[in-house]
This record gives sequence, C-alpha cells and structure tokens, in this order.
Amino acid sequence: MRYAPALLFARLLRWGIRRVRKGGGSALPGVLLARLAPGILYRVLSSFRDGLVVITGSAGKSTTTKMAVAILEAHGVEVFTNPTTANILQGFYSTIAAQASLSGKVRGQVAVLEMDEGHAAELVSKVKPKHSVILNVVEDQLDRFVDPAYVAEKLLKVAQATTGTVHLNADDQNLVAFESKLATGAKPPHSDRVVIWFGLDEVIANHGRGLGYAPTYSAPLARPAVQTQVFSLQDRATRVKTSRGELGFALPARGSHFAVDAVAAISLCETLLAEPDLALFAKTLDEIPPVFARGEIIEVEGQRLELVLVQNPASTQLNIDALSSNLECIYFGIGRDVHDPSWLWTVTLPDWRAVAITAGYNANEAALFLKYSGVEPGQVIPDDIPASLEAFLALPAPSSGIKTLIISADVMRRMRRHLGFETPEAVRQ
Amino acid sequence: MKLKLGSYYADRLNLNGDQANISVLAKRAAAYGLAVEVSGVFSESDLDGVDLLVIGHGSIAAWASIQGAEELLAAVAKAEILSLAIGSGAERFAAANNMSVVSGERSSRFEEHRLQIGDREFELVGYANTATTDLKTKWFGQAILSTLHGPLLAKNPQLADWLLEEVAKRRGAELPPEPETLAELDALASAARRDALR
Repeated sequence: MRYAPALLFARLLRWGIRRVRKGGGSALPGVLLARLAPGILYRVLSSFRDGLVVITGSAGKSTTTKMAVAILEAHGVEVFTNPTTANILQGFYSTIAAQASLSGKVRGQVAVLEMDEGHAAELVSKVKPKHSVILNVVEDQLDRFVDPAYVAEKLLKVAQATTGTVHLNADDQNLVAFESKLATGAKPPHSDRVVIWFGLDEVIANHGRGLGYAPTYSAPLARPAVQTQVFSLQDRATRVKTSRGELGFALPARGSHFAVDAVAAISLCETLLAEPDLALFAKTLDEIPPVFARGEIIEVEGQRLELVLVQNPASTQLNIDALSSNLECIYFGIGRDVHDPSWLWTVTLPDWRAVAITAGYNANEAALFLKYSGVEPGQVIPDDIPASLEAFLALPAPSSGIKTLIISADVMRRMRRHLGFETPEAVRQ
Repeated sequence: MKLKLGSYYADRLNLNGDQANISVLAKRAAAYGLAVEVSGVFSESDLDGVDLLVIGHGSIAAWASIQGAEELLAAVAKAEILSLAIGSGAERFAAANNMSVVSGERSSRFEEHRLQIGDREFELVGYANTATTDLKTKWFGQAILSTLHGPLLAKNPQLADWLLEEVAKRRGAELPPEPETLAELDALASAARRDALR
C-alpha cells in the first residue's frame, strides 16, 4: 500500500481537472505521480505474468499497438495498454494513475505499450521488455532527435534490452543493420533472444515513393529471411503470409505504411498467443477503426470531413500521396506541436491550385510554404482554431461531398475539444 | 542572361527542407524577369559557370556517403564562388576552409542572427539546431555560412534578393525594382519571422 497516498492524490487531481474541462486531466496526474512515486512505473511494468511488450519506432506505433491489442483481446487475453496520446514516461504514469488500484496493481496478463523512441530507450534501462516491435527510423522530430542515426541508436538499445523476441522491419535498412549487432555475445537474460523479421513484398514496399524510411546512403544490406510478409495489397485489401498460413483483411485506411503496422502486429501476436487463430486475426483487423485521424472520415454538422495527420516528412508525404488528386476544399493546419516547421518544405504537394484555409500556430510559415509550392493559401487564420474550423464548415460543400483537413496533432486536438469529443479516440458524434 | 544556380548533392542535403532555398531563388529570379538554370553539383567539374552555390544540411549518413566533400568545399572557397551554406553545410564549409568554430551545448530553437556584408546589414530569422556556438551567420570569403537551417531564404527574402542582385552585378547587370507579385510572399515571410520569435 506504499503507493496509495500518491495514487490517491493523482486520482483526485484527475477527477478535479475532468470536472473543469471535459476530456482533460490526463497529463498533470502523471506529473504528480512521477514526482511522488517514481518507482511505481517500474514496479507495475515488471508485474505482468506474460511480461512487457514495447512497440516503438518513428512511425506507426499507435496503429500497430491498437491492432496488436485488439487481436490479443479477441483471443481472450487481458491487456494493459496506454492511450494513443500517452506514449512518453509521463504518459505511462498518467495511465497508471487512471488504472491502478490504490495498492498499485493494474489488471492484465501482459502490458503492450506504445513508446516514444526516446523514452523507450530510457525505460528499458530499468525494465527489460520480454518482447519488442521496432517499426522504422524516419526523419522525424529532428528538432529533438537531431539526426536519424541517433534515433537508430536509441532503438538498438530497446532491441538489445529485449529478452524474448525482437520483431524488426526487414524493409528498413536502418534496422537490418541491427542484425549483426544483435546476433552475437548476448548474455543471460538475453541469450535466448530471437529476432523475427516482418515486411512487405518488395514490389509493394517500393511502390510510389516507397516507405519513406531514413536513407542510409550506403550499399544495401541483404534482406533477412522474413517470417511474416504482406504479399498482396490492393487499395485497402491486404493479404499476409505467416509461418502458420495466410490471412486477408482490409486496412483501416489506404497506404502501404498501414500494411507495415498490420504485419508487425500479426508478427507480435503470433509469438504471444499459444493458439493463434488467423481467421480471428483477420476478423479483428477488418474491424479496426481508423487511429487518431489517419485518413478517418468524420461527420460534423452534417458535413463529411476527411482528416489527415501531418506528423513528419515521410508520413505526411505518404498520407498526401494517398489522397484523391482532385480535392476541392482543403484546410491546412500546422500547430504548436511542429516546433521546427522547416521539414514541411521537404514535402512535395500534388497539383492543388489552392487550399481554402491555412491555420494553426504556424499558419504563416505554412502559407509561405504553400505559396512557394504554387498553391494559394486561401484565408490565413493563425492561432484561432475554433474560428478557422467554423470558417471552413461555412464554405459550400464540394461536389465530392467531402472536405479534407490536413492537420498536425495539435490542431486536431484543439478541433476535437471544440467539437466536444472527449477523448482522442472519440471521432463520431 | 541566364543565371546558373548550383545545388550540392540536392538529394542528400535536404534534411530540413534546405533545398527550398534553391526554389525560392528560382521563383524570385523569375519574378524579376531573370532566366535561371538549376544545376546539380557533385564534383569540382560541375562548378563551371555556377553563379551561386547552395550547400544544404544533411544527416550524418548523408555526409558520410559524399566522397570528396572537403576538397570540393575548399575549391569553392578558393574559386570565390558566391555560396550559401547552411546547417551542417556551413559547419562542413568552415571546417574545410580552416575556419575555427567553437562547440558547446546543443540548442534547438528559432534564432535571430545579424549578418554584415560590406555596408549591408541583414537581420535574419531561422531555426538552428546546432552545437556550434559561435558561428551563427557569417560572411566568409564569398560565402554566407549560417547555422540557421531549412528554408532560410523563404523567411528572409531580403537576403535572397541580395544574392540575386550580387549574381546579376557579377554578370554586369542590375536587378530591376522588386515586382509587386512578390509582395504577398514578402508579407507572409514577415509574419512567419514574427511568429518564429514569439
């Protein structure tokens, strides 16, 4: 019961904040709990019968985690996981503050956590994951990570700390380079560690602009033998071959990067489950709703809005490429979360003539980028997200019936709050 | 008159949108009525006839893959080619030409730099993510070296126009007065500079 007072304080703080602000109250209780009882995190994460699973990498963590958790739960496994927005250390504390009993226990046979790549490296120095999934290295958050090489170093630490299976993306040369570093010299408890590779068929992986992983600019390393592979991808229809057989399902949105997430989740779940049922895998994946505005369509005031997340150069390019080419009504919003908007200028825009509204904390730089890219920025509305959204909703409906919002996470959060969605996952009214 | 803008390994030195500086120069040159040719530079032989060379910011892996970078950057300085080197491009340019720089604690933020070239003074705003503490933005030989990476010229059009003016002058021409078509871009640049320093 030594954590009870800290948990009680954190719980009360959460309750108080949520009374004042609907959907709020997730961050501060985590800060408080981390301050009052820092050890609780490591104790909780070490307490699961089937261990800790870390899902990390530059892009796709949320979708992969959501898919893996859904498959496990469909098989009757009780899973402890974190919400999409809480993938840093403070977020884990917040999740514990919300879910732990006053004795400091949380329910679940296994913990499957999405982890920010920087925080994952720090956490695994204290709690060794039994299994890990490492998705990729992309040029992301360089204002924080500086260089993709440093991201790869952090992810390697996660792989090296893993005691059971490490699931690695065979299509990312940054991760293929891990093979030699993981193969030799491992001592207990790492001596039984197994590396399992997943990936896409070569033609699918190289389609269009490819998968957008950080280039290594060196002679390609030989692709490792892949155990779980996507061998067919037509629009959203996906077929995967595993060591146990084949399965087919529809991705939650178009884009080969979602197929990577799915095959990573399948690879992990085949390892975790004693009796994996591939038909149930397929049924579960078919029913996965879009994650946190990656191509989801929501209905607001009778209008259909397609939300596309702007997160880093590679995924933004892939998400924009996956859109229909003749969009008629576009909202472009770059918020406070984009600390250094320089990377926007690496993105090649389609042949849009104009967007209707450019908004967000970085609206002026975004408008400058659009204009130099030959796209008229329309009405530029910095900062006031509710006003910009209302202005967008007031525009006449396009002939396609769908308006498109290309937005960073900060803009999306502010919009959701304005629209009264209480959690990031609540997208439909 | 056709201006030749050189871009050093454009496909590798674009980590933070640094090649946007080339498209900004090309777009503004076109607005001024100047014909422009953008040319890739990979070795010394590609420097022939280059009026202005842009050296962008690249990853550790990108620089490791470029053979002969040090020699080329020394040759650029020796040949007194007007250049803009930014981010790690500036640091490499300085190192290749024995300009000493001091390293310290890394900072990652928007910064305001003052650049003096002859009697011209520029107040520049851009994003720096560097451990080089004393370089900031400097005029070195015939090169502007700046730790401000990314689309520096987009946010600082006065520097873009000075570069075009200088190139035109070296070709015996004059840059005409700024056309009205650039007014909206300049207003957005001004707003983006203001936002960056909030």
